[in-house]
Amino acid sequence: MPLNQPVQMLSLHDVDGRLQPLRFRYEDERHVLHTVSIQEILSAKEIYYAGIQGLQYLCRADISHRERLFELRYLIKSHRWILSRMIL
Amino acid sequence: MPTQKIIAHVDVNNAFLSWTAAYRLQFLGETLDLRTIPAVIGGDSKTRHGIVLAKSEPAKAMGIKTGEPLYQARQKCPHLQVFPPDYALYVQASQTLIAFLKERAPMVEQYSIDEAWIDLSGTQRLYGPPLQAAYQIKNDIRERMGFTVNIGLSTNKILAKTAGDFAKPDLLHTLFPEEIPDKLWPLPVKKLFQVGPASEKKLQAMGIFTVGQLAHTDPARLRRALHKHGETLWRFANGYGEDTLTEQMPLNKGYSHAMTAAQDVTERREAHRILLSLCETAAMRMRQDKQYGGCVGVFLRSHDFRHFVRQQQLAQPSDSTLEIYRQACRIFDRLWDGTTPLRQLGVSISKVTAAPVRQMCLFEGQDYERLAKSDAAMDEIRRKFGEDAIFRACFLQSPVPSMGGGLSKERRTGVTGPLPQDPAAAWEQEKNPLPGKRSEQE
Repeated sequence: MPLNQPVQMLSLHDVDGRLQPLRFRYEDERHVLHTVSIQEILSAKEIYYAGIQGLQYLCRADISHRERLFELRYLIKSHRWILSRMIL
Repeated sequence: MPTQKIIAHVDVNNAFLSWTAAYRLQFLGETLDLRTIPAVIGGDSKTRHGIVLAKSEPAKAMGIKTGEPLYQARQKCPHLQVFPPDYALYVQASQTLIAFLKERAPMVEQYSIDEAWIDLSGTQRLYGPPLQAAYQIKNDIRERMGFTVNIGLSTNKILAKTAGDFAKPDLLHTLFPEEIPDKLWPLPVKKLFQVGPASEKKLQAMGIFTVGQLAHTDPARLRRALHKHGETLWRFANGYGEDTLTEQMPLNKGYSHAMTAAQDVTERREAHRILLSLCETAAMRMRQDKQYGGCVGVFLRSHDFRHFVRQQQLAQPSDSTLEIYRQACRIFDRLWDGTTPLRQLGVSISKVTAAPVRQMCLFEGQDYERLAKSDAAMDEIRRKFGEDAIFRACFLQSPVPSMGGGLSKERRTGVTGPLPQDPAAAWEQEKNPLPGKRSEQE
């Protein structure tokens, strides 16, 4: 699973300005597309690392029939979603 | 009771390197922190822009200095890791830092891309004692942004900045007036703000080696040796300084642009074309600031690194590209022998005023109003469609860019100073070819 690469994302921008990732898609080494439906957002926070503003989400989902925890980042300036870290 | 001001100076440790390091750790998923190995940020030595822009602490320990050529740095440290600068990232990091400081303090004065003063007076009830508030700011920056800063805390700008330089990185130092004899006076004079190599030499010739000796010297004696600057230094050495911050950028005192040619210039036509390109840039900046220059200077550097400088007053202050260019050509023709290969050419405009009074001249056949109109039209087109949208025909088949002498486009985003609000005015900031600091007097 490619880390720190932009992923295709379906997300919900709520009327109060909240942003919620719903579903994303990535391509593996064999060029197979995988779609991941996020089951739960465990926490969200604003990040400013190296001055780059973004939102970071700790999420839970089933990936290849296994429950995983991972971090997604939305970068405000470049409008990109990035899968930054697999935790479990 | 007049309350004492509390000023803090915030300075990013090894700014360019720290920012690149934080980016690589956070967004490229690297595990190696550049700050812990001998590493530098440097230009590309292939295009001959190879100097050290920032260095890590381990690199510093090996004697590598900012501004020295990369090949020299590699001689000192063969395993040196060199990373290219990423100016867009640095501008963003700087903006985020300043925005954060503005959240915390009522007044923030940005001094350069990686330095700012903040006024913490009167925030005691909000954040507690100043020392605690400053610690909080320092630690929050580290946690939030992933790079470290030094904070100097005192009652005015000079003392705060001096305190910030004591020991690095990620430290907080105080230098309150009562601490001056212990902390400031034992230091060598070159550690004092605004003491450069030239002043240091003069002071040493007078038998002044420490800041304390400077503080106890008769200011009249310093004035005789170093003129006004001597008195300024005496004030700094005694801890007197400005304690009011301003968010307003001071106006430029002059406009200066230079271009280093890829190949040495040996033809008069070619040199004139470079001068025109520099005049375009300088004059357009001046018109944006609504300023008029009274004196034009030309400086040259030959292939063997000799310098030639000459300047001359204009008959009256002008902001016209063509008028400044003609003057620059006249000066150039007298300055250059016509054979020495030239590596670098520069144009400077000084004696800047805002008063546009034009004395009509009987003997000149030039219609200045028409010139001003065409300049204004060109400025407008360039503002709207980019600076390559319109240029003089002589640049059509020429390797010389139509507007030369600034920063390259990617660097032209306010790296050298606080960011302008209007993105179209962004290239006003292209003041120094290297990320540097504005000097105090400017």
